[in-house]
Amino acid sequence: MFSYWFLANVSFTALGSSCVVLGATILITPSSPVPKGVIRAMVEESCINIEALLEEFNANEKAIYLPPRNDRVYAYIPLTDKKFRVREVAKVPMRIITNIKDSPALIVFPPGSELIRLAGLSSESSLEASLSHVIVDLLEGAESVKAVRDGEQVIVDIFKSRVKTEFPRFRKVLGSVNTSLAGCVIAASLEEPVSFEEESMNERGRSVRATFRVER
Amino acid sequence: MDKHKIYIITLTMTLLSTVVVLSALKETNLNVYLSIYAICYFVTSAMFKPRRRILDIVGGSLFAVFCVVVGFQVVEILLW
Repeated sequence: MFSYWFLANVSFTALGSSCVVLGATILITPSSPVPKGVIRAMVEESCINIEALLEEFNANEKAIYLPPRNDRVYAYIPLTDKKFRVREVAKVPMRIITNIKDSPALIVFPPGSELIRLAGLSSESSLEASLSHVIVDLLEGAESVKAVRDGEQVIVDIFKSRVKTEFPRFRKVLGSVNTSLAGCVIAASLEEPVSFEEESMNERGRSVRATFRVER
Repeated sequence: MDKHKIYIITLTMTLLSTVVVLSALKETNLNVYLSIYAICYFVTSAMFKPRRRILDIVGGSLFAVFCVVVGFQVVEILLW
């Protein structure tokens, strides 16, 4: 406007108009070519196979999220309530069905396993920042995330969850999808095995509080 | 590089080259610039088919400007 009315310079006006067109185009063009809704649906659907596996083996024990091996977090699910040292779990062979001292267990790659690898988490960033990066920014699975570490216990609050978990066995063993993702992030960030302890939801089921224990 | 980035880069190049070429040709009619911007925008959009967050308001505005410019030219020719 200024260059057109006051400077009477058409070239500058044209340059300004081109910048406006370009800026508006950048604003309406999404940075991520794959819709976030599709990513969420794919993550939700990836639970189906794990649910079937858990049902087949009648798994009831809570999972232990193990730090990345080949950049992927994996979950160890005991099939009996036999006690063992969690440190031993990290050494078990990578097989779907494995055992420690005659105690059978399952090893599965939870839905967040690949997402954690793609997120490229750094051990320097805080736990809450890492959780927020994966759950809020990358997946858009919730509106916000808060995490508090009290000794060996980590409490994660996930607000306004947008991801549904309709698989009861999966929720019992690994937690809801967001909780499972949180477990993966904690295991990857702290590079320690993390046991999923419990999960509670508010009345509407949109805010989740999950408790994990860091095993040393 | 994903196609959205290539689309933005291509659009930048075409718009800037339009300004440079028309300025070098000493074009003083702003309508010519805007009409060519509209053509550049629609050609690059047709080539890359980018996804939009919202309705394509840029395309709509450029198309409206283009229609007005062409409309005035047609009226001018008919009345002359």
